[in-house]
Amino acid sequence: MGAGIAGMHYTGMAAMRLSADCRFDPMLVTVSVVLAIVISLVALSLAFRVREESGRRLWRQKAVSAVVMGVAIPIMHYTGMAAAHYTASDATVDLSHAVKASSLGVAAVTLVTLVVLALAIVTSVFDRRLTAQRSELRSAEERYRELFLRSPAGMIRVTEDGRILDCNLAMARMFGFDTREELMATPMAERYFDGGERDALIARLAEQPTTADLERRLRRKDGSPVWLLTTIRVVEGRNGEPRVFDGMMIDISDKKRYQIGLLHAQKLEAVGELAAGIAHEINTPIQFVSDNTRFLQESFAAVSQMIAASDEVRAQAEHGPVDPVVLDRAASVQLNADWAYLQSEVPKALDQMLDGLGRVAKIVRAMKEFSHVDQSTDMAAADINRAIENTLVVARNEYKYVAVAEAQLASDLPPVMCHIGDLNQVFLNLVINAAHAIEDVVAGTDQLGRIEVRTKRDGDWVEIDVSDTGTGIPEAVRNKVFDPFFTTKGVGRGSGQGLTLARAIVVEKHDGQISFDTEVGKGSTFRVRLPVRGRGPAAALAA
Amino acid sequence: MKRILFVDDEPNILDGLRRALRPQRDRWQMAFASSGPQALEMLASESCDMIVSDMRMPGMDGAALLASVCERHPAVIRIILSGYTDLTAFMCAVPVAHQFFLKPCDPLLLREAIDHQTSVADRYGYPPVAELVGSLRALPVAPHAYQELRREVAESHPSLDHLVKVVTSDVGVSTRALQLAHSAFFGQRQDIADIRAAVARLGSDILRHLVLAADTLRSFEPATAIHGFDIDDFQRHSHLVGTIAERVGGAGLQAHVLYKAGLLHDVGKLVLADRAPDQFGQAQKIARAEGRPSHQVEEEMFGVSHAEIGAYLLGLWGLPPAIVEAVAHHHHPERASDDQRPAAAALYLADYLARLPEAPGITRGSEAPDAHIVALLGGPAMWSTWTELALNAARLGAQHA
Repeated sequence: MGAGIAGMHYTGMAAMRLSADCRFDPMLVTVSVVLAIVISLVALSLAFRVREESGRRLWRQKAVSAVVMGVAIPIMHYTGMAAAHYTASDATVDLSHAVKASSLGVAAVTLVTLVVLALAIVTSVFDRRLTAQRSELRSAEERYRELFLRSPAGMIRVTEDGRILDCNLAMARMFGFDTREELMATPMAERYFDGGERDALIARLAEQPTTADLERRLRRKDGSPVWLLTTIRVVEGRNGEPRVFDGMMIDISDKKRYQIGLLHAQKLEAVGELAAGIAHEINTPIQFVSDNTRFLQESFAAVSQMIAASDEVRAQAEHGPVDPVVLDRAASVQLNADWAYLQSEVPKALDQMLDGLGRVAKIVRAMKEFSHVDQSTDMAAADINRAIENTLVVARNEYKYVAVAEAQLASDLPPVMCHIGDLNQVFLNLVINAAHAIEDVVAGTDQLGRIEVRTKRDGDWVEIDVSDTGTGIPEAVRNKVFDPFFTTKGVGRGSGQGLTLARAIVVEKHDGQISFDTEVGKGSTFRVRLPVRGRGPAAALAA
Repeated sequence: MKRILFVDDEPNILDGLRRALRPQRDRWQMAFASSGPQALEMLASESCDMIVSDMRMPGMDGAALLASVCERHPAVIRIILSGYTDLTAFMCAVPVAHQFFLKPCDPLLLREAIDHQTSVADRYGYPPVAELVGSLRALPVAPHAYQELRREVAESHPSLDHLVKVVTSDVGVSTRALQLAHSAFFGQRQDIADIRAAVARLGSDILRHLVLAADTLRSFEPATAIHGFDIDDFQRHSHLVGTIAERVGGAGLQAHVLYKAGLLHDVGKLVLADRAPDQFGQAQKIARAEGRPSHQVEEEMFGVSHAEIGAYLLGLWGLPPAIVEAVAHHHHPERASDDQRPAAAALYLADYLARLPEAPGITRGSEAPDAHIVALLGGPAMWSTWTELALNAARLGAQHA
């Protein structure tokens, strides 16, 4: 800038045509050039510093730098002028190369000056905008980084081979780590209980690049489970880079615990409702077993007397003829003992007692199996036929006064991977619903309806049908039967959650199907279909 | 020979009972039916003294069967023997069953209970009385007590103190509460010391059922007023007699038994007011006109007085014999057995004393307090203490009211 000013000044000087000889003082020329450079430097540096500022101060400082700049030019000019010494000479002014500053010339110079000025302004505006953009970009990046790092939702970026490229603190905390770096130092595979689950997820992502609202059970640093609601997106690598997965996760462990508690509460409620019926089923045999026991106790006393009397007779007989009084007494003891009655009744009493005890044992066993609490959250192979049999035993009191129940169980039914405790709940709900539907038909009559439970294999599926000869479901409510709290039953017979729960267990927990077929006046059939191998990989993720 | 009909849909139960109760065969004639309709058929062809029925049976259940028996053969004593513990089902049977036994029930206990019932029937179940008491389903309750009870049980958190107060204030509710609290449905049979214990044992849930749902209590609103019977006076008098009897006491008597016996001593009048209001009113009218005690007139009309009728009801409902006997003989302590006489005498005296403040200076007809009875409870020396006690109790009662 300084050189520009100086160059311009001395070129201008050289362009003057005067009838005088012009000499320059080298010392002052040097000083003028240095001054031009120094003051320009100050002015420019002031101008650049000012660009960072804003507000009222900006204008004040700009004014200062403009003044400095303005000062640089005249100082240089007058220094330069001071350096020039003219000596008059009579040399003819060589006007051959001179131009006359015509009015056109003046106009052209003005125009060019204006164009240069405009260019300078435009440049400065662009420069300004560019700088603003750059600083905005930088602050935006910082903002998003901040958002990422401080988000209460867990965020993570993982490579296909399981390296954690980035994550935030929330993510690390969800997995039980104190810092991001700690989590990032471990492979993603360590966060899974079952490695196959991750492979299944990646396979699923290959088909569907964004999966939202997955409920996943992952592993914390200390090995305990954490339930995460996850949304995952595949980010394809550009320029041949490998693709990565971006995940966003929310800790839903508390909600899960609550849900599981709710399911458990439902189960307890059902068992509680069954309790009166089961008590009845057990109290009845205990009553006749205890009646018969009392009978046997008294019978044994009578038999003891008989044997004592007969011993007396035998003892006498060994030593000669028996005293007729003793013989009479023996006969009357036998008569009092009601021996003929005992002879016919004791064996029957014993049979009935054994039968009664067998019944109690059967109920208690079925109760125990029915109320099985699934030990882990993993599925286990279970015998559906046996579950049906147990259900019919524990629920017997709920239907036996209105219906006979028959189970047609397929002998070739494979074991099914399932949560059997939950399925028992489903079967119980279906059987009790069937009983209630039948009760509405047969109440007040001495007729009995019919409940049929059938199982069969259908390829990779197992099918369980529960049919009743009840009222059937009216057209108008058919699409509501699975709705929560929808019930047509009277108060005390159902809260309207049985089928809702059944559907949640069958469909959501087992990847199965539940449907029904009904005809008003004839009855309904509810059908549950379960995949033999338990849930598919997709469902494994969902639960 | 008593004829007892057992009904159960489970043949093994009937067989077991048949065998376990066989030692009673020289005193009881036992019949067995496997369903309600069969039991009704058997009853129609040959009457019996008692029916012991299961609760849950296909077709007609125990409550329905007993309701039919109550209607067609009211004199038959009705007992439930059930293994079903569902409260709603139990409440359905409350109006029609006299007693409840829970399976499994020791056959010895059952034998004893049946013996107790039949002996009560033998002593007080004079045929017309048996029909009268047997046809009773709901006990009458004073209307304001009934309203208050309904209000209290409708609260989400009824206060025990208030419930006890309302229950105690009414003879009908107290009797029902004591019946159910003594019943085996609520566990081991044991003596219930007082109304508070009975209410606590039943709990507000059962009371709610009793008051709101089941046909076990009803507000006493007779179509035409019964001559000489005012339900509020009746409650006041019963309460006073209980309070006085408790304090008059006597050697070897438990105060809480005397209180309950005093409170319930006239429960027979509730039965009469409910089942035979016209005759009952007539008896009161004659008694007043002729200046005789009403129980004498009742004896002439019904064969027995409200005392025996009340005793029969309490006996059927399984209240302790000490209370039953004291109530039965509260007009004639001399008829009671030696060991029951002091309690009957205490009731007699309390009944007499309770009337003093109501009609000072007037003794009731021929009934000047028997010197023999006075002697039994401590002698004439006690007389001034007793009258003062009676006046205080009456004053306190009036303040309460």
